[in-house]
Amino acid sequence: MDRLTIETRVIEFLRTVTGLDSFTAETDLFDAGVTDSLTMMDLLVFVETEFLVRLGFTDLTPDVFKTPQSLADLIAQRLASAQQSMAA
Amino acid sequence: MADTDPLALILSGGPTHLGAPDLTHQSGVAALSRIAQAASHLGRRFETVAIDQCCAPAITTKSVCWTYAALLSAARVVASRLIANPLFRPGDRVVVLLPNSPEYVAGFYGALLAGGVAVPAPPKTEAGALRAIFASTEAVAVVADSAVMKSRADLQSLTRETVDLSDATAPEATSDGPVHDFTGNELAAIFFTGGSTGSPKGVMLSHRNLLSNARSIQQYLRITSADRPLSILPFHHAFGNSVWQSHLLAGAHIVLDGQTSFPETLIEALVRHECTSLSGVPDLFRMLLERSSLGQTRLPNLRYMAVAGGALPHDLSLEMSRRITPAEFFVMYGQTEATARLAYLPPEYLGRVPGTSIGRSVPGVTLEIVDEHNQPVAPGAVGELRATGENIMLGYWRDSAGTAERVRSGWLYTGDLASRDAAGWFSLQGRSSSIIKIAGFRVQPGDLEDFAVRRLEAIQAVAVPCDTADFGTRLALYVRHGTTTRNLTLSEMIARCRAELPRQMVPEVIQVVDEFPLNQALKIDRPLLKRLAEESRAGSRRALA
Repeated sequence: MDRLTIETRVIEFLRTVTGLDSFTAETDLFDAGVTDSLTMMDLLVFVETEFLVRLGFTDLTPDVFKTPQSLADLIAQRLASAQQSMAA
Repeated sequence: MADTDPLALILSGGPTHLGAPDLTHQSGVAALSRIAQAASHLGRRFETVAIDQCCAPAITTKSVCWTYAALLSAARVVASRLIANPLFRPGDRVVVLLPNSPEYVAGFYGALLAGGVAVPAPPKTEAGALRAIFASTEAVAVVADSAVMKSRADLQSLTRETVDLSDATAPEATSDGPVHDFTGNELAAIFFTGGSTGSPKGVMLSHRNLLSNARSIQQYLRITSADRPLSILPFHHAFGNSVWQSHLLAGAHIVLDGQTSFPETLIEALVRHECTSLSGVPDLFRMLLERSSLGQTRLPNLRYMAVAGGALPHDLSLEMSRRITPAEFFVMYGQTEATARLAYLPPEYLGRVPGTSIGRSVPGVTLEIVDEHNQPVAPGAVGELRATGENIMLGYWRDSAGTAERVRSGWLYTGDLASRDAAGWFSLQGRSSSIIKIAGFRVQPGDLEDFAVRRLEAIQAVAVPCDTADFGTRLALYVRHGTTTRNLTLSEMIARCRAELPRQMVPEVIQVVDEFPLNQALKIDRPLLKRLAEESRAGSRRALA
């Protein structure tokens, strides 16, 4: 799955959860009010079921969860390294 | 807004570096009457502790440390400004609209030292709800800071006064009215709870309520001035309030750091500040267990962690206890109507009791299980849990009917079903009323249903709790629209919920239905709706398993 598809799906999910169509790749998640603990839990479960990646505690940082873009970067990176290890 | 609007006091300025505050410059009589009052007046008690602790740290934030002297000085500045206001009379309500901070504490105790009543409210309180609180309490002042004021369009029209907390030259607060007949049963604070869209209930707590519950908590958690809690619960909520009050009244050092949404930041804060305890709601411990290095990172200073504000599944409590050993894990139970705490499970019993156990009453509280005729039931039988003690609320603010429903002959009827075993241990057996707990907040599904009819164009709505292993408890909302109106789309409904409801009331799932399923009695089959919501929720997770 390419990075852009991932980003689009993350944005799509955030639009569904918040009902706000204004979400873009650069929307600040904190300002958009989605970093409360209840929404964070939803977002984590979404990422893990949608992309089949596991986010460890070191991934749960304000930097990773800054924008849909930064989150998509991490997911793409994780998927790429999973593929590499499968190929090896 | 109307001319009866409260005055906005905008707190600013950092902590002052003071030596020991003293009482010597007061007249002998005033000083004496204060000392007499200190036993039963919450503000005066804090004053006594602060004078005693003086240069010890009281609250450390990410950027600054406030000593007890600085905190007391700030509270006195707030008090003197209230007293200087010609509209202010003893007993008047002061809304404290601040995030967890030293300023919040200065605002809360400042209101009390001025002889007023503190009304804590979250800075993000929905505009309509805040207006209702102002109107119902007839608040003369609201204490905030510039960030809170900036974030709220609804407060722009208030008259403002800036209060410099570092102003050590502020005149000493003197509200020496008739102090000799102060009993401690006077109203100290009103905590608004539960209904957020409907009519919120104001729980009235006296000085005695707050002091006695703080004392009970200090006793069973063995809190001393050596303690250093990492404090993450909202101060304006009964549970969070009980944590900061019981520690400040013990001369302990409160740490405000870390972000609950990022659990590892809490572990880092516990390490960095050498914290001795952490109290939280069940969701916090789910996150810590699943998403942090808890159990791997050494926490040598930790004495205990404690959960309340809803039920953490027993296996997770056991897992918590295992991960933090030799520190202890306390399971606790309480209600705002009981100031905060009613029962706790001594950690050494955690592995030996049923998963629904709430242990035994905290010191100074008596618990009983009664049947519908208010008669105590035999061991093992299920009935309503009732409680009595000095921590039971004065009642609901301006709601004598609501009060009479919950407090009868000195007993608080908790609305929880429970049983007591032969050894005297209590177990919860469900709720007799429809209230549920989400992220530690009390939620009435009926309030969401009312909201759906009022704001989501539903002609009928049903809200049910939905419990899943991953998420804990959330709400699911089923709505039926009329056929004539242009109906809101799902995302419009969700956006409106998120904009206008407190987070814990926002439903996890909204489903539009044409008809509601009925049971044999031709009533809406709520258990079926609950099951359907839970199945669709669990299904979304199954892919990973």
